[in-house]
Amino acid sequence: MDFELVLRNSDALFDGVKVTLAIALVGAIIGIVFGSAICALRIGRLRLLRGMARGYILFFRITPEVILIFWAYYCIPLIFDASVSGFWAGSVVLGLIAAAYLAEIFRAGIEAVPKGQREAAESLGLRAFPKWTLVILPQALRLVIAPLVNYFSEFLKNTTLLSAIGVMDLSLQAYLLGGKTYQYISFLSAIAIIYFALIFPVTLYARRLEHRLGDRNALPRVAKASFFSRLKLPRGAA
Amino acid sequence: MIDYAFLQSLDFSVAWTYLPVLLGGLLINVLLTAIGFLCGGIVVGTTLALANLSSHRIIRWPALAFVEFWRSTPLLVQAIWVHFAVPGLTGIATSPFQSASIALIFNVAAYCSEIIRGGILGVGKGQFEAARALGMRPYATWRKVILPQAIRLMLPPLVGTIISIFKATTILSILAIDDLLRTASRLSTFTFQPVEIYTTAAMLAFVVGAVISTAGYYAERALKRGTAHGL
Amino acid sequence: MKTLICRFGLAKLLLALVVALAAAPSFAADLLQEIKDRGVFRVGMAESPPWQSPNPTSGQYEGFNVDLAQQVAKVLGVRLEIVPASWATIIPGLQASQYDAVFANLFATPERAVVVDFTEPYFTYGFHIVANAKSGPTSLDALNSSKVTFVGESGTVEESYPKELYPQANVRGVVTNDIAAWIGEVASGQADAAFIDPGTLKLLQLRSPALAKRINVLNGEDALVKPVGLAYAIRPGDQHFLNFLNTFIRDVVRTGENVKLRDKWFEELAKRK
Repeated sequence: MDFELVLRNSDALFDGVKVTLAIALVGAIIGIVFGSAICALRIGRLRLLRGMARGYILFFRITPEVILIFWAYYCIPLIFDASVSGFWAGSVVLGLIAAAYLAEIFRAGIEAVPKGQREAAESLGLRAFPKWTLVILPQALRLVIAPLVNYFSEFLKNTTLLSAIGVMDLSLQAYLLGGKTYQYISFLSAIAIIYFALIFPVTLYARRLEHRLGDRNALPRVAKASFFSRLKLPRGAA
Repeated sequence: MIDYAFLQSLDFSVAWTYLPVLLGGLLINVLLTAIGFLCGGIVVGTTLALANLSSHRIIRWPALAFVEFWRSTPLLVQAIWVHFAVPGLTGIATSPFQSASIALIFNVAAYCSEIIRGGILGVGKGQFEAARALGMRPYATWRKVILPQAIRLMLPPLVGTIISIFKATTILSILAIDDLLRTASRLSTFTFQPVEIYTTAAMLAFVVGAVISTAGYYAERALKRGTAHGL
Repeated sequence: MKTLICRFGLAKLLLALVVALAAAPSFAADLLQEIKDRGVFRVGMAESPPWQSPNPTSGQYEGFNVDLAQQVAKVLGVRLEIVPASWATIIPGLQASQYDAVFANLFATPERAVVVDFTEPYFTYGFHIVANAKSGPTSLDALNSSKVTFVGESGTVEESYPKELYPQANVRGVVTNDIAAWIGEVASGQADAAFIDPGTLKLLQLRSPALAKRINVLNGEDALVKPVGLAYAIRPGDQHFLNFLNTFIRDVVRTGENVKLRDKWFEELAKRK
């Protein structure tokens, strides 16, 4: 691997990292906002809205992401006679897809809150808004954070799909630089390491949250334990 | 906002004419899904899972590193890297399909190995101890006691990964294999009608995805029946 | 004892012969001879209908350059093998010896000539520049500004020429081989302008009037920009093979067969539903 070549082009690669993170940010925001909305519809009272939410979730979870992104970028501007940049088309689509997954995650979290909580709140005379914001959602949030962070690591990986429509994210930068210099291996190896450095900590954090917040049988907290001791690293069973 | 003139000019008969070609491309995606699940998920995945469970650090640590690396890097990058690195490092020129298969197999294996490992670990330690107390040899223990229970635990989530694998195969289109997306691009160049072609491709992908997803859902339910998680 | 020495001596003689044969042509690698010995002429192609691309229904490669490649293979008395590649990888593939030559509508630019040897051109083409009809630049002079974004497939001259001729403008490279898709970007305003060759433009206007309506052609056929030759490429240094290919191409150009074949294939594509 040619380190010098990679370092010489590190500006371009850094721009790519910025674009990747920007895509992740925009997508995450859209995903959380729309995901909450879809989840609200999904568990709501109106059957029609529930059905529509289910349809939305089904569609965006089943259709391959690349095809949706491709279609959104190349076909929607022609149909609607509006121009939208690759970054926005791709990020919005990723956000809409994330919304489908997050809606399900939120729903699982809310349904996992024991029914007794809801009944107790109602019997105390709380109306809908305080019941939700003071009782149900805080408890649901605890259960939701781990899968959320877990999905975020998948989401970071999905940002590479935008390279298919020409958004200059990290993977496309490396591909183009590789094509220009005919040194694909150097650049691809470099970005593999960068992506790993970005995504692996997220995965580790998700695993830590899983065992701290979700696992009833979690290891008891030791006062001065390090970050790593709280991870359940694999041990032989046989 | 909506360009009605453009919408009216859309001619979907071209999609009908070239439907067999698009289906041929879709077939490649399905083939890759099968390769990914069977070779990758089951064969390589089981090997990795067993390596990860090994009591020898010298086997466990490389396996752990492999799994973590292939799970925390995007498939797109993995696929392109395999396509250029394998010929570069070993001198064997792999065809795009072969590179795509290799990258997919390792990626799927990394994910499935965690599920398989979870299945094996889910069989309580008591089972191992009971088998040993009964004097069963290790091979018999695995075959007759552990594996049947582990398989019943791991099969439902494994079946659930098939739809993800299918979606992942569409990413491999960047490697110039004749899959759905690339066939659609080619047809779009031929006919200069991108909207019709890509819409049809999206619908085909959705239909196949829906079939796989529904079949997977019912298969999962059937497999979970009779276990602690089931009905 | 004597027969043993005889046999040993024979082995040494054979060994010497093998070494001599192996060493003999090493000072002048003759690709042409190698191809004839091999029996297969390997040719790298990137898809670009109607020059060369797989037929959508049959999957077999066909087109202008496929016909010519088959003629070359016939002259050499060998089988033709087409190795598919993308525009981004077609020259690296040649350098990596994945094929013997590139037979594609490859433009012979000086930058490429640094790493490959080009034959004589079999066609010379200039380019139209098309722009978005509603918001794009309206004349060639307005193109050299940082507010203009060109689009072109990465690895092709449609991407490198705007960088060369209009350095102030932005150029976006796309990875998709779908011409309709990135010309569609100009039509929808996602990009402001693009280079396009006359043949492809005519096909576009014929097959998709709706798309053609949304783009302006900034220069007519009499004022094409940056004329450059289409030629075949081989690895540098094989002079004999280069001469052979040049003789073949001169023949094709002199008899007018290049024009005949081109018209035939463009009509094929225009007619196809």
